[in-house]
Amino acid sequence: MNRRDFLKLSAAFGAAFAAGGVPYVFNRISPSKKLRFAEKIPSLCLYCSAQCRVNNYRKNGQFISIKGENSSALCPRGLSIPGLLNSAKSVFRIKRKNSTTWDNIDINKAVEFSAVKIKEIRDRDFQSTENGFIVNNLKTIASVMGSSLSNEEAYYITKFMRTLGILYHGSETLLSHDSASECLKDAFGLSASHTDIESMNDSCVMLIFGADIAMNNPSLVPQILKAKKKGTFIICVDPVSTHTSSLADIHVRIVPGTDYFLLGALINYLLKNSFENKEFLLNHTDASFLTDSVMGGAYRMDERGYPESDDSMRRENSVLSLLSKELASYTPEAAVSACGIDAGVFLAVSEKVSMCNGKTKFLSSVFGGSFCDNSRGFSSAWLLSVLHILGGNVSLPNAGIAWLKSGGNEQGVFDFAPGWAEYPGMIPLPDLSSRNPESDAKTYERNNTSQYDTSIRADFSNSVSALMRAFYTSGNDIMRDSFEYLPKRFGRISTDDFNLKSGSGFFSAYFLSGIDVSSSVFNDLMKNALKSDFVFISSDSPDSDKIIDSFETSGADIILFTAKNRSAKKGSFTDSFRRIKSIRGFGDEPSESDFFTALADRTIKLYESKDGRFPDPLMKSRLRIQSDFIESMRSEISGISEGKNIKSFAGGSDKKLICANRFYAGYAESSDFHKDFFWPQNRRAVFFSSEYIPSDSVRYKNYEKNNSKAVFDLKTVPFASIVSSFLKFNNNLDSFYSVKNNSGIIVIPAGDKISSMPTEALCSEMFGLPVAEIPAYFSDIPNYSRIILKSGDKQIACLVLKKNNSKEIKAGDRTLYPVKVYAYGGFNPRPDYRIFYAEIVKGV
Amino acid sequence: MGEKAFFINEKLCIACGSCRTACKLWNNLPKEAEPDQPHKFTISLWSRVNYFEDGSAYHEKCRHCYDAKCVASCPENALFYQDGFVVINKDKCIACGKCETVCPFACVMVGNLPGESKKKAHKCHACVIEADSKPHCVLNCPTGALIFGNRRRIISKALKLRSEYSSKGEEYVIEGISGDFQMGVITLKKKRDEKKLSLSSSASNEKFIYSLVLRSVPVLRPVRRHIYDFISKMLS
Repeated sequence: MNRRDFLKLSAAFGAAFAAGGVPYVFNRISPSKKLRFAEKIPSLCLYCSAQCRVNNYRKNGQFISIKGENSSALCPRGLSIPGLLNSAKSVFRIKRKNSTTWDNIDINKAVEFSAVKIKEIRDRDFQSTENGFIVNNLKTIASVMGSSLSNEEAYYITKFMRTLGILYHGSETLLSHDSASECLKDAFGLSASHTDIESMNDSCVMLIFGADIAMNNPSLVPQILKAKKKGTFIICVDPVSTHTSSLADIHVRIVPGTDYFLLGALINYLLKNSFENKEFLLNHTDASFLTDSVMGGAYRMDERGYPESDDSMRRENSVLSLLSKELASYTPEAAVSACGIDAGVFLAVSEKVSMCNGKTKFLSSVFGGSFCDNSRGFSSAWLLSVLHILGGNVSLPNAGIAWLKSGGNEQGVFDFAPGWAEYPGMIPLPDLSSRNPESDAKTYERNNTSQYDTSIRADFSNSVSALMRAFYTSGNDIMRDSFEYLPKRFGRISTDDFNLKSGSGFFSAYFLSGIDVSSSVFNDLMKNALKSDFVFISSDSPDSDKIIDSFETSGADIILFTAKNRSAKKGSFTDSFRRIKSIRGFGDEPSESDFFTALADRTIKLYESKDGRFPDPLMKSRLRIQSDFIESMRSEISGISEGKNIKSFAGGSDKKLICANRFYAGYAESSDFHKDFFWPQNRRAVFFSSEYIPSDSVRYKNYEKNNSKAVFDLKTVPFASIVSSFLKFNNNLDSFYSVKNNSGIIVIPAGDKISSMPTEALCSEMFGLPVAEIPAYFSDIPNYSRIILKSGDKQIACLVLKKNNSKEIKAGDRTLYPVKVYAYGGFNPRPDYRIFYAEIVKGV
Repeated sequence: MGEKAFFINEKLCIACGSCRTACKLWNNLPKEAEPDQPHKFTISLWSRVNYFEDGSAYHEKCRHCYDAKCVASCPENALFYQDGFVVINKDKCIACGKCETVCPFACVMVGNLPGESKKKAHKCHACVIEADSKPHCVLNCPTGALIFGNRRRIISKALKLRSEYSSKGEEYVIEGISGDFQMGVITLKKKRDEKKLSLSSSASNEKFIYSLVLRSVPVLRPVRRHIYDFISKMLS
């Protein structure tokens, strides 16, 4: 329990005691007597990813007790919820520019203030056309949704933000759980990469990495014990001995930070002994595709534009053989010595893991924050996903990956996947930067419809129609009528992009709804946001104002809404079998949904009074609020989930088990797994140097046809988050180890833009050297050179790399070298799967 | 005596502390003044988790002894048995502190909770009355380390588990089923070097006479205090 939890708990008890009136009855309290006439309110626990379903009991306006659903046990944090609910209040407060005090205001004033600000900024910055295209976007307002919002709130806020034209609208996850979401989304899909532990009861082997479940999520322990009772073999990989490890069958005590080595060796073992699930790999992944060895980054295409494949998957340039080549150095012997474990333990683990073939025996994994929040975290998360894909242990009820950090899924409690460039349902925003700009509905449809995939993309037009019907209008030809209302983007919108813009003061206003301001993840965001013109923050913590005061706040008008927490909200969530589960709210306090509905209403009225520009998406949007909007939205969501609007979304044969946005998971309970569900495009097992996006395949061809265009383009490199990168040449994954042997490459950032990054910590972690000695260290090594990366005239970073590579290409009078960049964002490292070409500046 | 009992299994305890919090929630108890030292019972801490240096832990509460010294020593009959568990009648309690001194497990504490005018004795009262309901601490134990049920079944289970663990080379002891210590709380815990608790010979005599005289003759209960004093004097 950390300090904050403790404070909450003690506050809870204090409040419970103070509010209780007669605090203590000497004789025993009869359960039926205590809970008689108490209102039972089903809800969700707000504290951790276990997402326990709870029943709150309220009597005379006070919360008197809490119980787990079906009398299941709750952890100490969950049991303290009544106190928290009794003490929390929903209050709007405002802190004006250059002021030091908070004033209480009512919701109408807060709405009026925000609406005027929105209109002011939107009138100034709204772009209806750009470069000759209709874009209808608004770049200077940013919105981040936290994990304490419900489905309906997230959906409504997304709808409002997108109809305003806001491009930078994303979820907390994209900021806070970067490494895991980046690594797993390519393999599993953004909204489907988390599988609940509850569904993992029947798996054959459960791997637990660095998650002390007994300590942090005690209410999940019954699930593990249940699994153990059913015969699941539990392997706990943890450097320290914990209560969780005492429950496991094998405790693998590795050296801290060597998870990726163990995983690499397991994959190597699987591949060498041909334990992979060939049927699955052939039908559902790109393992059999051949790659272009020279370019290393693209599939080899046949005349029709389809990738060439080899069914044996063992040909030299196939993705699978590239993978095994990549991991060739991860031998069991090396793993045993690197991880500091017994050979017998490794053999036992590998034997158990190789048994899981994804057909009769399943593998499930659980990992906590410590697993992927270090400099090797992305390797670990990526290798874990590869391990799962090799056996076909993906997104089945008994097989998957659970990450115990955020809410129940990686977005938090809501099921939408608000990626920076996505609509609900992972429908991408139209992109105007590709070779075929998606400036009309037909191109948009064509670019996003896959030719050879039996996934959602096969029926892309239907899904977009349903979305636009929900967002804008209900005409006959929705695609044609509404397409131009959609905000459009130029190129990729990423977290780095957002961070860079946020740091440079690009945004005039922020809407941070449902976030936890006390979380360290939001430190940078809060710092940047409070320098802007206007900030709306809604937060769970009762002491949010004090936390905000600890930042410098003179620049912005701040409206703070301390909302009652998630347990006090209306909304629908999903249970472990992905059915929509409705949660009843308390209904007497305003929540985020009330604020945003009123805000939307007011904003539209402001625009009505003026003869607004046309076509203004806001005026066409279907944001008009009925009193029972939550209900209508719920039916809208469940309508989609049941396949009413979009038939192809329903994956299973009975079309019942699909819900909200999880339809992409192809989640079906039936036993005939591989037959019944569709694989969306983004769930391909993308080998990291073989990224393939059909609409973007032009990008790779550019390298061949026009080398000058393929030069390292600084705009596309996420410099804001680069702290250190390593470049690989000899198909060597363990660069961190080989750097020590003078054969690796590291990027050392220079220049003031990124001076605040924790380089020192990272360098000292990697080399065991203080940061001042690093340049000298490199200058002494022969065969190293530096690449200076410049943005305009400004030096942004320099790469130190090994010279003796042989894959250089000539572009005019310059010599370019292939450079694989792995971008690190502090201790939330994230990979960028691209190969760039860079010029080496000699003599530095 | 009642047929129900608690069962605490140290092997399954993960030291989450749900029992402690659940107890406080259900009984509206205030927070601890010294939350970092939960290693002893206080007037507002009736159930707690016993932590050990090797990482193991188990739940601890009032043992609800079958021949409880606190019940025997209470001059006002404020402590009595209800459904087989020892509970306190707050109206009768005069806060003399006898129960606090005689309890070998230091489970009973005398003091006043905030909001109370007078000092009273406080301890776990096994919050259960209805036949099918369970105490709140038991309801919220996630692993099943703390269960509540039929005493005979629990004893047979404890014996079975002890032999199972000993076959794996782990030594466990059972507290609460031996002849001297028949308890409402049966604990299966690791064998440690602890001070062995036993009643002295005079105490056992006292207990024997007490049970012989008082339990069998309910009519004498109103004058129990005097008889108790008399017997004590005789014995000393």
